[in-house]
Amino acid sequence: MSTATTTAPAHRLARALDTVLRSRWSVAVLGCAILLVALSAMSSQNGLSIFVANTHLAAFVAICAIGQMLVITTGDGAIDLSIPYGISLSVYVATILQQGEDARLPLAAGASLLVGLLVGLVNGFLVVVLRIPAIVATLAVGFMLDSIVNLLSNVPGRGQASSALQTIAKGSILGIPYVVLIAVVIAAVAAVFVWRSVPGLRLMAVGQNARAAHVAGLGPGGARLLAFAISGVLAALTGILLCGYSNGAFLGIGSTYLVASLAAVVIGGTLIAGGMPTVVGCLAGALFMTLIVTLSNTLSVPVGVRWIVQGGVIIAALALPRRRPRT
Amino acid sequence: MKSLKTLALAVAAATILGATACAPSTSPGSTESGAPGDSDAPSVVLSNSFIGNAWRKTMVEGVQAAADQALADGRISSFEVINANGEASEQISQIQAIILKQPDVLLVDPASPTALNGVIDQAVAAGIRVVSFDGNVETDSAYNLAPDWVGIGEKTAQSVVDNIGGKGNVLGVRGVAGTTIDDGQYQGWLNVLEKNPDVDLVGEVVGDWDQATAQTAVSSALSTLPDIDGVFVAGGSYGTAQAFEAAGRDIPVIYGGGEGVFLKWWQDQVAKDPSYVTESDSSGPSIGTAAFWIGVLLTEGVEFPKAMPYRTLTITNDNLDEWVEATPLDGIAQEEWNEEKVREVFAE
Repeated sequence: MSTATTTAPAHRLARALDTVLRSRWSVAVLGCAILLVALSAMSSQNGLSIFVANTHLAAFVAICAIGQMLVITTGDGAIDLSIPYGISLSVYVATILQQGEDARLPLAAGASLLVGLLVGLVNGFLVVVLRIPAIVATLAVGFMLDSIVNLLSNVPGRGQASSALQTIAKGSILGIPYVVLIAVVIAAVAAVFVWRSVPGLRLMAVGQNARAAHVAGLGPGGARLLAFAISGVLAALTGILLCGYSNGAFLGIGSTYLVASLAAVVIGGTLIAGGMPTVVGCLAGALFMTLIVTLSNTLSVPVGVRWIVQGGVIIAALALPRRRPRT
Repeated sequence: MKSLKTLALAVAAATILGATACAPSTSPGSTESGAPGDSDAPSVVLSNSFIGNAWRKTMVEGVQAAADQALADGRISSFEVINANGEASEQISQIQAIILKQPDVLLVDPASPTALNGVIDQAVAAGIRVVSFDGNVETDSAYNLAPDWVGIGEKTAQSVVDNIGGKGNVLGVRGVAGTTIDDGQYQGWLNVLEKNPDVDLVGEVVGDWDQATAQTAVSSALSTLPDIDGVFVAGGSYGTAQAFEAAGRDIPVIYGGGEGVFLKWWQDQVAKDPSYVTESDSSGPSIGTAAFWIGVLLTEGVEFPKAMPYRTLTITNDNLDEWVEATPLDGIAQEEWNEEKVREVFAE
């Protein structure tokens, strides 16, 4: 009797720990914790401010990574490599239409999101209808977007971001950056969508076993098209926020988001084969990628060797033995 | 039936891929005006290694404008721009194709100081006058018009060190890692740091000569760095300034690279804090126009030395206002080059 009462909480703790360890996102969360402790130890800044500053940067990655996660979840090699180019295009469209005026922000943001939706639908069309492998189709679309961005960069006097957008992208409330709040809200919506809505569940079913889903009357086409469309819109949203953050459009603005968005998804624990997303992992993965960059910026590692350090940490994180998740 | 459909899809895919694969080298990069050989005037081709930033765009536009005028005046018979994707291998194959067309003058903004040596020697052997500018090429068969990057790095660092009073913490924002330009500037910083032991380089980030990339990198580094007094910048001064503002840090002495947005920010910063003093240095995209005139004049028998150090344009607090006026927000401050000035400054 007495043994039972003492073991019960311990047992419950062990079970909770087990659940955490078995979850797909545990590695990313643990990795973030380790990196944060390491950075705090190395820095004269306090841990909380390091956390907030890096979360702010990670939020931009997280928003487009959630789109990437949904695409990857539909399985069959689905991936969106047009994200960095979609981001750049959105930055240019938003900047040019905004002309630094708050009154024009809704128009600029609306147009950017619409362009993003269109890009996503084109990706979806190529992959779903024309059956071009996603890795090729989305890269080809990306190159086209890149050319359009090059043309847009010749628009003279393209101006800056409106002050309202700058406040949203750079500012914070009660110490929490607005961009982080936006990323968290999107993540919550994405989680509800994936786990609770019919289209979301269909998206996962298609990714887990396209044939079984087909037998059950679920074609993969609609779900995949939807995922690409959402990814296009989220890349555009990332671009709009980056326009405010950088106060204008610059050619290299989207370039770091290809690797970052993919790595955030994979390190977060989303199955690259599809069918098993994790939104929490996606957020943690984005923060992890940002912290790695900060780590290599903080350590006095020679510039040329930094990519080796970053690549090494990513591989180490992925190679960590994972306990078999419950399915 | 099925194989027909597969074939059709394959063709469609190949078309799309083909169109985009060619995109960097043809549209919108390649523009041709005039036809070679329609007069005795020389034909000119510009091989540009990379078109991905405002500097290169301004450079190409400047050369194009000078060429259009020269075409109208009958000084040249044709002009063509061929842009590569930043890779030496692509630029080499483009130059090989250019050699077959036998232009009189080849202007090269090189992707690498060494990789292009062979193909440039081939071009010179084929009777083409090659003028390399912006970055050096090591072969001495070409005319080299390039800034002294180590000297520019030293100037950057010395200016910042002087403006922070000879001691304090500095941050370095580097350009594209592994390029001669970046390595040269970095060496210049180190030379100055060696003579100033009270100045600590507490962090280095890679900004890729891009405002947005520099901003993200500096923001990331600032999350752990102590107070910063000055920033050595090889590219991305405006992004650097924005990162400090976004982090709510005191604004350090940030060295400028002649970007219109930075000059405007600097002017606003001086309005807020009249004691804010810094400098800006830019090699200026108009270097392409200088190279163009050197090439044209070479065909007319004017002699130039093989190595021509290019001077930079320095902006200080004193002449800031006039340069803000003269420089568009998305442009880079640059001095005007024309035929007379090129003769005066560079000709033997």
